[in-house]
Amino acid sequence: MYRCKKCGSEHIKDKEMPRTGKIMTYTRLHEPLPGFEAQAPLYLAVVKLDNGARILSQIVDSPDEAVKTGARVKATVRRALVDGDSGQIVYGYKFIVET
Amino acid sequence: MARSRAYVSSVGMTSIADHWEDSILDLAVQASREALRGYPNKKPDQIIVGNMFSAVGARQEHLGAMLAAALGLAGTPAFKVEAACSSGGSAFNVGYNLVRSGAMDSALVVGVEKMRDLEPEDVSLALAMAESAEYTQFVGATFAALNGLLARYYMEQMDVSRDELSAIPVIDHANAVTAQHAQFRKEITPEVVSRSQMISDPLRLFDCAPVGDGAAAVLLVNDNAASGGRRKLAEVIGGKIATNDFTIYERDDMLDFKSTRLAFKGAMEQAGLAPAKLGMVEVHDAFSVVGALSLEAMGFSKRGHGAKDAKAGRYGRGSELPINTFGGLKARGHPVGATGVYQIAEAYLQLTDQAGKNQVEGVEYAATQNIGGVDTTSAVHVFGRAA
Repeated sequence: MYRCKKCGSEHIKDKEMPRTGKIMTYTRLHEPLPGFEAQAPLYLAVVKLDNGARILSQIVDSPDEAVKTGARVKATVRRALVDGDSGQIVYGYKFIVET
Repeated sequence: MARSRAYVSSVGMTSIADHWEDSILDLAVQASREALRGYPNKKPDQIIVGNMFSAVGARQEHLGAMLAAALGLAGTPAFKVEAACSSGGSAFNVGYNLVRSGAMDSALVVGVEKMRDLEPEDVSLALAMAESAEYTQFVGATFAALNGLLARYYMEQMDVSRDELSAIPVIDHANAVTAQHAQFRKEITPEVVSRSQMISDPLRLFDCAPVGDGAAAVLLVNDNAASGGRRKLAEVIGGKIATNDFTIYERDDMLDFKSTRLAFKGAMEQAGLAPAKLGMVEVHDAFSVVGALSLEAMGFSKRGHGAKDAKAGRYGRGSELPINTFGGLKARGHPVGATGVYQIAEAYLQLTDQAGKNQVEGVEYAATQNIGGVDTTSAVHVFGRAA
């Protein structure tokens, strides 16, 4: 976002997000995008962070029964994808259900 | 500039199928030739192509000039309009505004897509371009996955059952049985939907529009170009495009299809028409949940009741507001950039009493709704019989 959609201001600052939140909704994807086949079937969720912000992310390392709407989750760093023929590993954010 | 009335004066459509033998140009030309039949000098002032991913699906861009030249119309202004799956409706909107403003007297609008030359995973990659590369593609989410998230949210928040969600696909398939250009022409039951392969839980195969190739063309004219000839006209009485927050999870309310809501309101206001006057709607059911939420956004169903009303018989053939009269996206098909123009061609056939076995008897006004992304862009148009 480069301009606030509410007031039009261009004074946008980066802000650190909380590392915890809860699942607003989730899906189990059987055929992910090319490059993510090894992770199929894949849980994806809209996570509502504790400050109200929402983010789309994978849910990993969690038993199937634990992945449900309302479950509390916490962010972690994981391998996100492998980029190109040189095989560079890109890391990113994923979430784990808190037990 | 003086404003004029705008009309669709003729249309052309290929069937939606696996067109292995036809290139993207072949399909576009086929539809265009049909639409230009009966047009006195066969020379539209403007050519506009609606298409989403020809670069990937056909290794081809620059479709406007390419089509113009192929039609023997090199010299004609031409370009492509892209807005993901609303490319067709958006292309039409540009043509509509050019023609009704008098900047051009006529415009040939052609929607075309070749999807079937790609492997399934590459179709997935192509469709994913409708969504954010940084935030959606980055986590491995396909377009179906985003709609799967929306479907679960809809079912849980609004207490919508599996069979209720299946109602729109069932209506679509029933309507496509007699539709010549439709891709799938067999009736289905709710059981067929609930037993079909899981794609992205809870969305199953039969919740999702198919992949196919096709082209549809419409000829737009204004009062200067409409006279003469024995062509039947349908008037374009309103048309608006609106956009939404780009990612679905940024939205204050994921179940509010704001683009459709705004585009519909704007188009109807422009038409000066009360929604109750509409006799049919072509709804963008790329996924069953999208069809349901679109109906709610246009105000035909209360919040949470789009699928429930479809199950209760509100939108089927012979009902007060029939939808997707030739099968909609699920059964007529969804060659993505072309769909918006197929919807408009179908509305034209209905309003000129040329819909054959699919005719909605005596229909006076029709609306078409065409979405890109998950209601990220919405192009809505309203049509009436020409006086």
